[in-house]
Amino acid sequence: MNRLTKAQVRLDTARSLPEVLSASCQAFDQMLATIREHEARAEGLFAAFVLAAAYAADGRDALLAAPSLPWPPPAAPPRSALAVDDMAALASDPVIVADIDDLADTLGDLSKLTAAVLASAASHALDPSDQAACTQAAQSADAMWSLLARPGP
Amino acid sequence: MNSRATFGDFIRAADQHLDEAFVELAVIRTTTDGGTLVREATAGLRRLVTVLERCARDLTPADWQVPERYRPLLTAWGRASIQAREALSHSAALLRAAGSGQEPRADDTEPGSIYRRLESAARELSIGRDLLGTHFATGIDGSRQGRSEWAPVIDSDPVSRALMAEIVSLGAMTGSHCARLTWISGGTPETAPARQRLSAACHWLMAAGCAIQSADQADSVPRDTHELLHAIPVNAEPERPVLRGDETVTELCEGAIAIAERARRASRALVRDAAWSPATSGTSLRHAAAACAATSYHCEILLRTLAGQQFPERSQLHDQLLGSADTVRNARATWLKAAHSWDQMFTDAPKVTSRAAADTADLAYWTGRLAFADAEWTLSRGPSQAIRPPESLAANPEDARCVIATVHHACETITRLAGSDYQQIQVAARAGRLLVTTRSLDESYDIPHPITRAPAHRVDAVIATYGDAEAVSRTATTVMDQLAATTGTASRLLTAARNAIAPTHGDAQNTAEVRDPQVAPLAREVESAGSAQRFVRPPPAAEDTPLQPGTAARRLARGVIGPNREPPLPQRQSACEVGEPIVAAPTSDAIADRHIRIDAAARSLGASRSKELELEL
Repeated sequence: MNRLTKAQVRLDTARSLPEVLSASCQAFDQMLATIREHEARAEGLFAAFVLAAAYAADGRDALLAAPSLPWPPPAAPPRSALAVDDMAALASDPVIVADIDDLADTLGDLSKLTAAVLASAASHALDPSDQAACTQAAQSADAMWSLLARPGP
Repeated sequence: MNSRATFGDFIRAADQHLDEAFVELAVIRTTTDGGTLVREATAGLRRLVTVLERCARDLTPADWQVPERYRPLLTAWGRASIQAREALSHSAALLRAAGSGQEPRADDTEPGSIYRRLESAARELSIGRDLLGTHFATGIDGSRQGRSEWAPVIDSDPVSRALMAEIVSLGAMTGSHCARLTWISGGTPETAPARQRLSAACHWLMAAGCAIQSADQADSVPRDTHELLHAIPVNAEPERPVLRGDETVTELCEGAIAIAERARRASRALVRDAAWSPATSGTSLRHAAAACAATSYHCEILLRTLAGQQFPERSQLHDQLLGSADTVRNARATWLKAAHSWDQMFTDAPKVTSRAAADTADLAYWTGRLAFADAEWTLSRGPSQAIRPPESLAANPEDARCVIATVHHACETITRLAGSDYQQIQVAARAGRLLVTTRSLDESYDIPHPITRAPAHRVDAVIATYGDAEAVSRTATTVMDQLAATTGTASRLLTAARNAIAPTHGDAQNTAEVRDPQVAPLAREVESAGSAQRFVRPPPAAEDTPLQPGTAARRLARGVIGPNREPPLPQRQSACEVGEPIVAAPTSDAIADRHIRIDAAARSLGASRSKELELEL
C-alpha cells in the first residue's frame, strides 16, 4: 500500500472534524510530495503537475490555520533528496506507478475525495475559522482535481 | 490583437502632412498674394513650432540654464540640445509676435491649405507628445515618475537623442520651405515686418537643425534607436485575449505576446507594496513560480520543434535553436526550485492570487496552446498531450519568426518576474511577513504553534533560489536576443529597449565628476535639472572611489552621463536565417533624407536670394 492509498484510507475513515482536518492535511502533504517526485518526467502533464502542486500547498496551508486541527499536526513527509530531473532516485519511490497517467488518475481521485470530505466538513463545522479553512482547502483540492482528472463527463 | 497606437504613427502622419505642405509651397508662384501666404504660413508654423518647442523643453528643461562657461563640459548632444531648444524658443517668440491676431479663425474665411497642413502636422506631433506623456505621472513632490516599462526607455539617453533629432529635423525642414515664402513678391509694405519675422523664425528653425545635425555627425543615433522610438506604444494595458479554439499560429503568438506584456506590467507594482500588500502572498508566489516553470517548458518544446523544422542549409539556425532550448530548460529547472521553496513557506497574507500570477498562468496557457497539437489543449489534463508537429508550427518563415518572438517575450517576462519576485521576497522578509510551518523546522525549534516566522537561513535560501532563477532566466533572454537578431523578429526591439536603459558606465567611473572642480558647480545645477543630467560630459580620467549616496554626482552617475555613450546594440546579421527581417522603414534614412532636403532647400533659398539681389542692383 503506497502513501497515497494510505492517505485515501485515512480520509475514508475520518469521522470527527479534527480527524478530517488531520487526514486532509496529510493527504495534501502526500500529494505534494508525490507530485514533486514525478513532475520532472510528466512531459505533457508537466504544467498540470506543477500547478496542482501549488494548489496542494495552498490547501495544506489553509488547513494549518484551522483551530480544530489537532496538535501536533501530522508530520510532513520526509523531504525528498530528489534533485530536479534526477530520475535515478525514483527507484526508492514508495509510489510505484506504471506511467504518469496512472499517477495522475490516482492523484485526481484522491484530490476529488479530499474536496468532497472537506466540503462536507465545512458544512458541519461550527467555528467560522474551521469553516473558512475547510472551504478554502476544498477549493484547492477541487482545483487539483480539475487539473489532474481525465477529461470527459 | 495588439492595435495600440505608437509614437511612430503620429510622427509619420506629421511627416506626411508636412510633405503635402511642402508640395504646395514648392508650386507657389509670384502671382500669389504674398501677404496672405505669409500670414497663413506664420499662423501654421506658430502652431507647429509651439509643439516642437514643448517637445524640446521636455528633453532639456527651459529652467535649466547652463552658463556659457560650463557648456564645453557638456556632451555634443548636450550642447546641441540646449542650442536647439533655445533656437526653437526664439523661433516661437518671433512667430508669436508676427502672428498676433492673424491666425485664421473658424468663423473667418476658410483657412488656406498650407495653414491646414501645418496645423495638422502640429496636431499629430502634439498627440505623439501626449502619447509619450502617458508613460509618466507627476509625483506628490512634482517630480516626473515612470508609470510603465517604457518610461525608462523614453528617458534614456539614446531615445532622447533620437526624439530630439526627429522633431528638430521636422522643424528645420519646415523652416527651410517656409523661408522661401519671404522672397516671393506680392507682399505689401505693411506685411514687410511679418515677412521679416517669418524669415528670422525660419532661420532659427534651420539653426536648430544644424545644431542637432552636427551632434549627430559627431555621435550618430543608431537606426535601431529610431525604430525603438517609433515603436513606443500608448501606455494602455493590452486587452486580455480570449481563445476561440480556431486560432492560427500567428494569432496564438500575438495573444501570448499580449499576455506576456500584461504580466510584465502587473509585476511592476508588486515590489513597491510588498511590505503590506495581500498580493504578496505565498499563494501568488508559488503559483507564479509554477507558471513560469510551465512557460519555460513550453518554450523549450517550441524551440526544439522549430529546430526539427527542415531548413535547407540552415544548420547554424538549427544549432542556435537547440542551444536556446537548452538554456530555457535550465531556466525551467531553476523556476521549479523556486516553486519547491514555497512548499513549506508562505506569507501572512490570506489566500490571494496577484494579477501578475494570474497573467503568468495565462502565459503558460497560451504558450502551451502553441506548443501542443490539440486545439482544445488547456493547462488541465487533456485528451492528448501530443506536441505540435514542426510543419504545423512553422508552415512558413513568418510563423517561425512569430514563434521565436513569442518565446523571446516569454523569456523577457519570466526574467522580469524573477527580478520583481526576488525584490518582493526581500521586502516581505524585512517586514517579517515570511512564515513557515513549525514541523518543517528541525528538532532544535520548540514552538507550540503550527506556524512561525521563517528563520533567516530559510529566507536566505529562498532569496538565493530566486536570484538563481533571475540569473538563468536572464541568460535565456540573452540567448533569445541573439536568436531574435539572427532571424530579424520584431521582438528584437526588446533588446534595443533593454540596451537603451542599460547603464554602460559604472558608478565608480563617474566619481571624478564630484571631485572635478570644473564639474562640481554644474553637477549642483544638474541636481535640480531632472532629465537634463544626461548631457554632462565626464572628465577624461576616472577614479575608483565609490560615490556617496544621495549626492548630485550619484544621480549623475545613475543617469546617462558621458559622450559617445552609445549602448552596445547587437550586431545585425547580414544574412537572415529565416527570411527578411520584419522591420519598419529605415527611419534614419528618412532623417538623412530630411537633412538632404533641408540642405537643398537652403541652397535653393540662397540662389533665389542672390538672383533677387542681382535684380535689385
